[in-house]
Amino acid sequence: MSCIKDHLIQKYIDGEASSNEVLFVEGHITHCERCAAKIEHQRKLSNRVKREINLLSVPQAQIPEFVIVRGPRKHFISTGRIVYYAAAACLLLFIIVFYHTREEEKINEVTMISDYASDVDANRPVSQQELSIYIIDQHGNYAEYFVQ
Amino acid sequence: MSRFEEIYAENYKTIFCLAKKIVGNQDTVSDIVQEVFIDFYEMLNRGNEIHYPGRWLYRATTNKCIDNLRKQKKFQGLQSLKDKEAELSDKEDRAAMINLALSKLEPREKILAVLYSEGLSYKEIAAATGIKFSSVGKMLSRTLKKIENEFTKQRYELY
Repeated sequence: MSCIKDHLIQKYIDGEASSNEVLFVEGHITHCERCAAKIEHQRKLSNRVKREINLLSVPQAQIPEFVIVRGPRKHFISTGRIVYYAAAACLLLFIIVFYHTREEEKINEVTMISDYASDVDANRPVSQQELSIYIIDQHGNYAEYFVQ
Repeated sequence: MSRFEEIYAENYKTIFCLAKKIVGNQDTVSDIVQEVFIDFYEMLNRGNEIHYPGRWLYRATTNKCIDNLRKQKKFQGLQSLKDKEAELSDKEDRAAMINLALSKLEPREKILAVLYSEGLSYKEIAAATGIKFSSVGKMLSRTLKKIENEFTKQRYELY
């Protein structure tokens, strides 16, 4: 029968072994003095290390008052962010100017559309074709003229 | 008394002792404990529900201590460790010896040993350190062996 592994010995002495593992360990040490001695050694070592480590803690008599000190927040804007904002502002400015100009063009614009009133007769000169002209002024007024 | 104040009063000493065993330096310990409680306070302020504040504080403290130990290791030269060792052997101070033995361990092993000395169960140790529950026993027996070897090396009578 194989001997008990170190990690199982540790679990056993810490009371973390399962019931099957406990049965195995306790059955084994009845006939294996070497493992019984290892368990005893590991138990002493564990207790000693715990005790020694606990020497390091100094009981803190007083609990300090919990205070969160918050200074005034600094608004730091990075250079990259400044460039980004400037680009966005330029784009916005361009859009506003462009649309404003287009609006002005629309106001002063008079649209004239010419069309032939009937089918074009290829055997007649242009001056004798029936031509219709549509004029839309800046106020949206619509006028239609026929030229013969 | 607010919920935070209650938890602060209940857990301050435990958390302070835990950090003291791991880190050692009183000033650093005070800073670590304060940082832990500030984080906890802000978590509560943001409306996060913490069902097991004790466990949360243990975990946060061990993580901060691990960070601190790693930083210390980074800046601590081999020579300075040897000097410290020589100085301590002269004093024959038990607390100093265990402190020295612990300083030879990996941060995670050190935390494990300290939590074990606090009397935590394997389940609690696993929750506080993030070590797998099934690996706690194995890692613990290995860590205790290392401490024993360190004691032997320093001709320290363990029994």
